[in-house]
Amino acid sequence: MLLRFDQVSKTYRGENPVEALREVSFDIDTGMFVAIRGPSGCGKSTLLLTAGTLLAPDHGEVVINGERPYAMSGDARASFRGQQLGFVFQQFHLVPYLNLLDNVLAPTLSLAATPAAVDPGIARDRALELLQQFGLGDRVRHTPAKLSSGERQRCALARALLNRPQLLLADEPTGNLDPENAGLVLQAMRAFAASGGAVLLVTHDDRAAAAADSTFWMSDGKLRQQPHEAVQA
Amino acid sequence: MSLSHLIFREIAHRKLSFLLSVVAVAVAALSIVAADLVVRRDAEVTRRIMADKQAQTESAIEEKIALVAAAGADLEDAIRKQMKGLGFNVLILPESQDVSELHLQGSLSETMPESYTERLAGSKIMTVNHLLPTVLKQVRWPEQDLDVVLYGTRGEVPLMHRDLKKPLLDAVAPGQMVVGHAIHQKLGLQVGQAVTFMGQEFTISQLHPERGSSDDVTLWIDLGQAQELLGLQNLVHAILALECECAGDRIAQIRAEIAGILPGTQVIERYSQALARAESRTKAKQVAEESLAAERLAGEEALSRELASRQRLERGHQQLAWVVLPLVLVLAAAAVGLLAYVNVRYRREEIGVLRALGLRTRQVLVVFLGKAVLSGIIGGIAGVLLGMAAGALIGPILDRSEVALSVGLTETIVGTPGFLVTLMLTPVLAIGLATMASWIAAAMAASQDAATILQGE
Ligand SMILES: Nc1ncnc2c1ncn2[C@@H]1O[C@H](COP(=O)(O)OP(=O)(O)OP(=O)(O)O)[C@@H](O)[C@H]1O
Ligand SMILES: [Mg+2]
Repeated sequence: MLLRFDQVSKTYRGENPVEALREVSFDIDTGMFVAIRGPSGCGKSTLLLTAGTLLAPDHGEVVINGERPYAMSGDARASFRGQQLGFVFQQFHLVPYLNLLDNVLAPTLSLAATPAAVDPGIARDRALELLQQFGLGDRVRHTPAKLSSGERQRCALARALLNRPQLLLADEPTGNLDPENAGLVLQAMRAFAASGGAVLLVTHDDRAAAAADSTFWMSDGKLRQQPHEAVQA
Repeated sequence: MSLSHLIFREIAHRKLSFLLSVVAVAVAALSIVAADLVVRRDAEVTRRIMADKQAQTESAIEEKIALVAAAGADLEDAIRKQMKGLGFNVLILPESQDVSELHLQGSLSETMPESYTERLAGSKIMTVNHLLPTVLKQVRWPEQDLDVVLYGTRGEVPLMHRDLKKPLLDAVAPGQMVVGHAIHQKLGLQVGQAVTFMGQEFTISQLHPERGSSDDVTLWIDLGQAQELLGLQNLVHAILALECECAGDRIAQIRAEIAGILPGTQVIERYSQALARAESRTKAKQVAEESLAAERLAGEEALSRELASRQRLERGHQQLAWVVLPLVLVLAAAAVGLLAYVNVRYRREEIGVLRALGLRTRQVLVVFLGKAVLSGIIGGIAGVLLGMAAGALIGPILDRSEVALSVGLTETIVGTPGFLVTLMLTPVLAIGLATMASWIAAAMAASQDAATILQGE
């Protein structure tokens, strides 16, 4: 089992507390490409951040690759995240002052001075290979500002894959893309899942959901593995 | 890919904000170095001015010493010449006369013929101007029961081969008496009073003031009368030769001349001259010493006045530095801190992503503090260099004294160990300032919650 949520609850505290996750439980195996769908504000991003070891749940347990990241120290969890997880966001979140190559290489920083550290030359070769694979081989020296949205998202995907993570977490990665680029990204994710990784994809997009092996449905912080009748209708 | 690469790329990307940080740090470092340089210049200028003044005073004193020595020599020479103009006073005595009797008792016992005086006067002796034959004897004034020295004298004996000279001393006329101070005091004598001395009547013609010598116990009467009273007709005890002239101060020449004319006599020099000469030396020395002491005092006063005015100027500059420096440091720190804070706010998204990519808290801290350290290094070094230039420019404006404007002064100070310490420590301080000022912003960045940031997109 690669990712397990066991009765995970998360409430945002404040003047009006929001129960974003209510006893969410599910399992994802290696090789799986799962889409998460649901109305705005139902807790999809919260679930993704919790799975991404960035947001500690109030209750329940998150287990990734047999480890409990929320039991680790902050630094250990950061290293774990750097090695095991890859993120892709709707807004790409590329570092504006680094060129594409450096952006893709940024995840190696998390491995620096750890046993998982990679030889810079090898990392560089892999980064160039990924950029090539996503059709950006001739843009490696450009900064993100000079790229189209589709190119930026492909670059972000290359970055997410650099450290050969186990789990790819994607929050609306195709939201800002034209159909052609969205297709390219989804295809790459499929390939990643097929190569032994796992993908958790949050999306509103029917076509994106269609690319997934299975779909989880969320509403009001609750997760169901079958579509709700109302949603289906 | 490394953190330093990240830092350099970010700086290159946001040059202006980094440049402003560097400028703020540089201004702080510049102020420290410039202030230190100005203060050290002040001290060096003071040192040089004081050394100059000291040397000037010393050479002035040396000049004065030379002047005073010359003046002393002149004075002494003048007095000597004057004394020489007066000539020597010598006493011609029979060879057999023991001079200790004269000195101990003011009295003489050995005699020589009175005609010696005429013989000396008739000779072609060129060195003696006045001759006074004298009898001089300690006797009892029987009528008053008093021991006195009786001094029989007459006016000068004219030198035959020369023009008649004005008598040097007033002769005491026969029947008259001049009385020494101690005697007339003791006896209450008055001028014009008649006294009896050894059975003879005398009228007092003159009372001497106190002289502090055997003169005070002396009675002067006419030579002839004295010879008669003492039973020394045609005999004298001594011939006083006044204003003896000769080239050089040597008495030997006079002795030789007199000995050639009056065999069986001895010649002694009266003390008065040697005394006057010693006095003149003492006087000249005293004048010289007083003048020197005055010069020294004036020199010291001028030095301490100069030092006080320099110290006032130095204190003024130091006070200015103590007001301006903390102000500049606080403002620079505030500017660096504000720029760092703005930078962190601006880079929230980047921080969230770096976190999501697995960067540890310490690494995020390094990204921000590394930038601060870099601005400290560049600003510190630039500030030190500019500070030296600024100090060299401001120094002569704040202090317009000639020494402060002299070429090479700044270079001299730049080479001193004290200033080198400032040059070394200022960049360290600049780095410390930039780091401390950025610390809160960096800590803020490192503690940013990635989830919150990524959620808030
Ligand atoms: N930091 C936060 N503090 C308080 N409430 C929050 C916070 N983040 C999210 N929420 C609330 O939690 C609920 C779930 O938010 P979440 O972002 O997970 O929804 P979502 O399903 O991703 O919505 P969307 O499809 O619009 O992205 C929402 O009601 C949201 O307003
Ligand atoms: Mg969302």
